[in-house]
Amino acid sequence: MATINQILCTVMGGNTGVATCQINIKEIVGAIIVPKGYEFDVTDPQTTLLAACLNTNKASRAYPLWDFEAVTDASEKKVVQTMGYGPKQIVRRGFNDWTFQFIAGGLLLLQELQKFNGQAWDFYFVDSQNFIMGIAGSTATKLRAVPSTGGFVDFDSWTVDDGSKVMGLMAQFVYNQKYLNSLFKAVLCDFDVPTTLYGLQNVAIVSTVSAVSGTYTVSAKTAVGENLGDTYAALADPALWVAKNFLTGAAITITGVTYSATTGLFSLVLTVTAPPYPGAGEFLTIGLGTPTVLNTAGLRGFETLAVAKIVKN
Amino acid sequence: MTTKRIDGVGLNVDRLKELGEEAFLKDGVAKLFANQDESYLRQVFRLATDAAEPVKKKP
Repeated sequence: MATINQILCTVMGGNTGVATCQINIKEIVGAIIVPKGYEFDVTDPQTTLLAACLNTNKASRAYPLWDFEAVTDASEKKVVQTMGYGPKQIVRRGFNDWTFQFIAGGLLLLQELQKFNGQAWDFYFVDSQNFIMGIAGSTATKLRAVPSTGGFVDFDSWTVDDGSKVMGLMAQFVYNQKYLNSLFKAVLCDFDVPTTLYGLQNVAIVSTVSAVSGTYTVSAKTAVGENLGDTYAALADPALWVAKNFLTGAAITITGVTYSATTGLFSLVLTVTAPPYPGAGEFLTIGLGTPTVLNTAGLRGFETLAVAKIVKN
Repeated sequence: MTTKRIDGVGLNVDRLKELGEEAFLKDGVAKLFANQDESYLRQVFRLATDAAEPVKKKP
């Protein structure tokens, strides 16, 4: 109950007993970038967070970033005013400003990360012991992400290889220090977080001309040109592909799929009954299934960035 | 969707059942197989759909 002219004035020291074990955070090996206000139930973090990483909705997705190899701490010191007679008064606590260097993923990953710049995202840090660090959530079993300051999760720079050190990518996190201080909460996972939760790679589906009615040939390659057909035989499965009438969005049944190692192309045979099969001169699209569908089939961490838009043959 | 892979070709079993064996032989999906022999393709269809071999008449 609020009372006039009264503030929350409680004398409350902290007990200083020391237990046999303690939480000591080790080097931070990665971060999970999540939508503003995100929290998860720690009862089953592996299932919950993996599902979040594979979320079809990009705005609701969790984006893990691993292999941090060095940190630069440019945190602000607390602001202290020295009074005229000599005593010091704390004006305010500083903001933490941590920049992590990583190498894996190269410039193409950095370009993907730059899509976060200037937007409001929160984050968890993960240390080498598999502690996921955040703040208190809305219930006792929920861990909320650390709120970034002014959307300050930033990826704007890389260091050049000068012949004595390798190129490094930079991930910068700025946040109020209270979040990983007095408000700090963490969950110790019983699984290896960096190798269990993973980000998605973009896959581009590109069509080539096929003169056979109802049969379409496409390639499925990652941004660095890895042909998924060469690596994943499981992709020759109609359940892992999606064909749609471009105009109506209606799904077109895929009868069969095969991959030719010679051409590096998949051949898909569609059911040509119209509708949903498009009419003369109209378009259809071909792409991969959702990240969850692909993951279930053993294709870990892929998402169709661009579907093939093809004129009906 | 039930699917089955035979000889490197992923097949939509539900669709194959809709088509039936004779229509399968003429459908584009049959062209995906390297072996175009009719008896082979009939075996593929039956294997995919778990259809029993038709009972052969005694000569």
